[in-house]
Amino acid sequence: MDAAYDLHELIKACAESNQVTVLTNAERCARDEFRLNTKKAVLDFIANEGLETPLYLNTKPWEKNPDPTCPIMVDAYSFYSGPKHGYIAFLFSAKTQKWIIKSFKSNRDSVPRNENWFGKLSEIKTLIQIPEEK
Amino acid sequence: MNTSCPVCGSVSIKTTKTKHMIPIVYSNPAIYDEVLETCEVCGESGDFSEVNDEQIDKAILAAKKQSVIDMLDDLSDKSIKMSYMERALELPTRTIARWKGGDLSSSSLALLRIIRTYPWILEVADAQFDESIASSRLVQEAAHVLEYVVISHTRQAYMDIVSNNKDEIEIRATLKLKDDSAFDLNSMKPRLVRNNELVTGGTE
Repeated sequence: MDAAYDLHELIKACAESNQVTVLTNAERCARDEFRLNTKKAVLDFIANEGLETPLYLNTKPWEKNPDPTCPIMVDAYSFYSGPKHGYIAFLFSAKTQKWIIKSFKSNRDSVPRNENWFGKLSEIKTLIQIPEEK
Repeated sequence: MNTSCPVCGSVSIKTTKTKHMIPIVYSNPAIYDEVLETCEVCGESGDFSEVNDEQIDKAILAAKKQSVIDMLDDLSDKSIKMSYMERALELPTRTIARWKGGDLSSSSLALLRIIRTYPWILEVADAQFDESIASSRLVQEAAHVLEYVVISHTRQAYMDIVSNNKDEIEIRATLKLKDDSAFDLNSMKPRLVRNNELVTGGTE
C-alpha cells in the first residue's frame, strides 16, 4: 500500500502553530528516548529537518476510529537522528483538520546507522552472481 | 471554551492531573503537574488544551539553574576555580559567576556539562587546543579509566617486563579477576582480552 499522506505536508504543518497534536505516548517516548521534552520541542525538531533519511514503512487503518464509515489511515516512517534510529507514525484528521503524531519512538527493528548492511549485502550478491547476471 | 479531541472531534473529554519527573543532567529531576486529557469516544489522550509545555519549561529551567550550581560546586570540590575556567576558555571575567546566579544560556549549560564530564578538557583549552596535548590528555584519561576497570575487577595483579630491546618493550601482565557477576560477556562494561579470548569474572 502507498503512503496515505505526503510527509512533507506534515513537516510543513509542524512549523505552523496549532496544526499538529502530539498524543501522550508519542510525547512521552519523545521525551524519554529523544530528550525532546515538550510538544514544541518535538514539532520544532520535525520542522527543522530533524527526521534524517526518512523511510516509508507502512500504512494501516487507525485502530481506535469510532466511525468505521470514514476510515482514517496512519502512515509510519523510520528515520535517523544522528546514530539514533527512530519511528514516527501520524495521521491527518479531516474532521478536525489537524495532523496527529501518534507515535515517536526509537525504532525497535533498528539497524545501526554506520552498519551499511544493504551495501554489504549488495557486494555479496554481486560476488555470488554468475557472470552473465552481472 | 470546551476542549475537543483533535483526532475525532468529540467534546467528551476526561481530564486528569499527575506528577511527572524529567531527569536533569547532574541534578535533581524537574517535577511538574501533567494535565492529561483523554477522549471518551476514541480513547486517544494528550495535552489537548496545550497547557503542559509551559509547566515543563518552567520546571526544567528551575532544575537546570540548580544543576549549574551543583556542577560548579562539584568542580570547586575538585579545586577547579571559576577564574581558571574563564581564563582557559577565554571567557570574560565573572561570566561563570553570572551563570551560577541564574543568567545562563543553553550553550553555557552544554559547555558546563562537558567540563563537568571531562574536567581535563580545560587543560586542553588552556593549551589553545593544541592537537598533541589534546591527544596526550585523552590517552592519559583513557589509562585512568582502564586502570579503574582493572583495579575494580582484579584481586591480584603482576606486571613483568619480559624483554626490553632497543625499539620494542614487551610487558606481560597477569591479572587475577574477582568473581563479579556484573563483569561478564554480556555486560556493557569494558571487557578484558587474554590471548584473543575474553576473560570474564572469576577467571585467572
